Amino acid sequence: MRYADLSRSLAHNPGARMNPFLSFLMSDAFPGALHPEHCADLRKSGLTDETTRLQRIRSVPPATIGRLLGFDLPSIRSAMLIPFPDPAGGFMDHIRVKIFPPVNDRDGHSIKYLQPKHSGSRLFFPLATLGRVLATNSPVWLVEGEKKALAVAQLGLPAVGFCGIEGWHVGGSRQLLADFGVLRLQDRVVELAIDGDVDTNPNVRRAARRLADALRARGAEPRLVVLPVAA
Amino acid sequence: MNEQKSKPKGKKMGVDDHIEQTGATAQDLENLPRQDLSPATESARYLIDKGRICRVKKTKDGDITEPLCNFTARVSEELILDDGVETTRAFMVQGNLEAGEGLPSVRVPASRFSGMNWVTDGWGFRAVIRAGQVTRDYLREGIQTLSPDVRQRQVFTHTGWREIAGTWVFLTTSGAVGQDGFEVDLGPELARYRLPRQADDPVGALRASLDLLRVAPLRVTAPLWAGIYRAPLASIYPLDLSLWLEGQTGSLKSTLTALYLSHFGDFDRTHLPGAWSSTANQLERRAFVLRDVVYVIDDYAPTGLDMREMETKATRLLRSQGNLAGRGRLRADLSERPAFPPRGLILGTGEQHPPGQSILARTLLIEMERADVNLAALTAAQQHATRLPHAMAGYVAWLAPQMPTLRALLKETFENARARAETAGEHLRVPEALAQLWIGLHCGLQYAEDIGACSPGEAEDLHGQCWEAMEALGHAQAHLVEEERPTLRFLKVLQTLATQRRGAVRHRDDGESEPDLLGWQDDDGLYLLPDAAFAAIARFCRDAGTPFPTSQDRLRRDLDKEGLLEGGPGRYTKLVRVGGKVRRVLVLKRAAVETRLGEGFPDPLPLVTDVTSYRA
Repeated sequence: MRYADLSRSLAHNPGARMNPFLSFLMSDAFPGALHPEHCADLRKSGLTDETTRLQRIRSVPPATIGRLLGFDLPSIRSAMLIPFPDPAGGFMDHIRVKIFPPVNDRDGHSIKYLQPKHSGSRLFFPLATLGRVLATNSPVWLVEGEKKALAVAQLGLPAVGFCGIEGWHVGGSRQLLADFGVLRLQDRVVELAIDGDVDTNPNVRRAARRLADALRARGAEPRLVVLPVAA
Repeated sequence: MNEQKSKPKGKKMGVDDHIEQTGATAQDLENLPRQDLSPATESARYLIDKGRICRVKKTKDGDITEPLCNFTARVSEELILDDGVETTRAFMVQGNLEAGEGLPSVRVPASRFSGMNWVTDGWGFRAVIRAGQVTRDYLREGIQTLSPDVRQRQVFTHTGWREIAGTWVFLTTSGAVGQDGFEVDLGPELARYRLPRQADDPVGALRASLDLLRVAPLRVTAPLWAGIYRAPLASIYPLDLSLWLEGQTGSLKSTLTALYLSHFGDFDRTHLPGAWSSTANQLERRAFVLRDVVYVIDDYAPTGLDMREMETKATRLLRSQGNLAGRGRLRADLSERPAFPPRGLILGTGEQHPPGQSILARTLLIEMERADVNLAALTAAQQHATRLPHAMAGYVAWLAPQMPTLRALLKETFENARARAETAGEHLRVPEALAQLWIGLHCGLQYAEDIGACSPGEAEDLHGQCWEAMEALGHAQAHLVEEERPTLRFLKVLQTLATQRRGAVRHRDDGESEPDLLGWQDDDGLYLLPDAAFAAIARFCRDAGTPFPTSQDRLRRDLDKEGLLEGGPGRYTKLVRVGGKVRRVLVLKRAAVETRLGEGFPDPLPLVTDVTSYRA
């Protein structure tokens, strides 16, 4: 599917099956401007304005953040909406937002992304390479993180994102998410681009192995892309 | 446990960071080194340490080995238990105490496995599971995890025919007749149902079987012999009949029954498969398990204390056989369980039989006494009892290739025999019972003739003699069934109450009232107070130990159907002037009542109004 087709599809079907706040944010009635802090964050990941526009990444008005998520966190100053394109056209009724500043959980872990409660995990399909992801058998990059998936797709490599090292399966199961159903996996090379701690964090390593197992069970040939560790 | 536990030393690098920092292109990304991710192997969560099953508990400070019990246990086999209707599973578990002492192998139903109560049940006090709410579940998981090589084994839990891969096989605890590779487990109590894989000298064995016909008069032996050869056909053509051998204590009925049952294995008077003292559920279950064989239930001898209970059990079981239907059951999750209908032939013995017309109609009663038994012939037959399973093995081997076409033939045989046995007015179940037995007799003798155990002439003679004996039995049964008819019983008890003056049936014009008043009478009819008469009769029956078998409403309808009742349209009672008042009464036609009773109804007692001549 080409970009123009996707754009048309989105234009004809803006916000279908979405919650009303998301529907409004994705509509043409909402200007979709980005807060400078959000722009800087995207640029830091190497994402171009064109990618940002194509993916309809936008800043959420502060008054809408709580409504969009279904809960309020007073410490959030601003939030950047990352819509999830639906490979069948349009966008899913599923989002993640990057929050500024990050918050800490009870254990002191930093939380940068939030999503509505009980909304589960979905795959993130960068639109730039969606056609090649769906229609060809060329190696596909399975990348941990939405912005990282966009960065890879921006280079022209077919990419799909998943959200967090455990974000590829349904809770309580080791089965791949249903979203994997749109991918041709049989005999396809899947390049796993996982954050660099895969070599040092045993939990991440175990999850990566399970992901590889699940992909192999579908006939795919997973390979771990080894990223250099920053000094 | 094999994973590195160290925290990342450098900064976590994502692919976007790499691209941004290095200006990497698509080609650069494609040139990055790759690593194969070998299949994930779980670190062991359970292990055996010092003769105990232990759980490896992950903590911040590393792994801790935590004992779950003081023994080891391993599932060696998974049994798939097939009773012909549903399949269940059980596990064979072997174990050792931590000191190394072996524990007996226990068979645990799959449904009980996770509860772990089987540990104490099977291994006793010394096998200890550590305290803790989830320990049992950890132990369950540990045993399963530490049992990597569990062999599956299919075990049949019933006797009789099964069609497996297009071949009909007859199962007993020795396996399948004529076939290898079948395992049957009925439990120790029923392990005596055992036929040889191959019949040894089938001709001689069948002659030994035919000799049983001479042990007692044919009215006793013919239905028993026919029943034995009818039972293996139960799967092919429904068998809705039970046999009941009745005789006083010491009449050798159990001995004779055991001798006939020896066709299916090793039985004697003290080793019979069922007793009426067993629970209703056990009787029902065994009648289900013992498919296509005879199930002897011995010693129906109700006493005052357990009379009702034993009657209830017998009635339920015999009715199930008669209707070929088991009680509906639900599982714990409220889904329906398959029913357990009887699948063979029930042969009851007792000093008396269970009451009730409908039970008698489903059960052929064979009365015997000790004088009936030819002791010399009985002794000789007992000496050859070990030959009888060979006769049965030969018979089922002869039946096996005919099984696919047998049903239609048996149906035709049944219908012809029923037509021969039908006599006007008799309960329809009686000719059907004779026809059921005829099937067994006919097939047994046909087999004898086919293998040369008897000549065609001998077979024909036996056919004729046995049928004659069974027909006489049928007439006696029909009379018995008739005697148990509720309407006749009602009239007889009413007559008894009037004769014994335990209830008053006054003259129609007599206005005197008294506590035992049941009604009035004249030359034309009996005018009964409906509730009073029924209550008195029900009370009398209950005191006599045989409760009245039907409800008042059902009785009225039956009386009406049988032409005994004079009622208004749509009503069974009528307004009549009796005892000087108009009352609603049950009007019985006197002539019809006396015809049914076969004698006159007692006249009313003279009303005593003058006591002046009375002298003490």
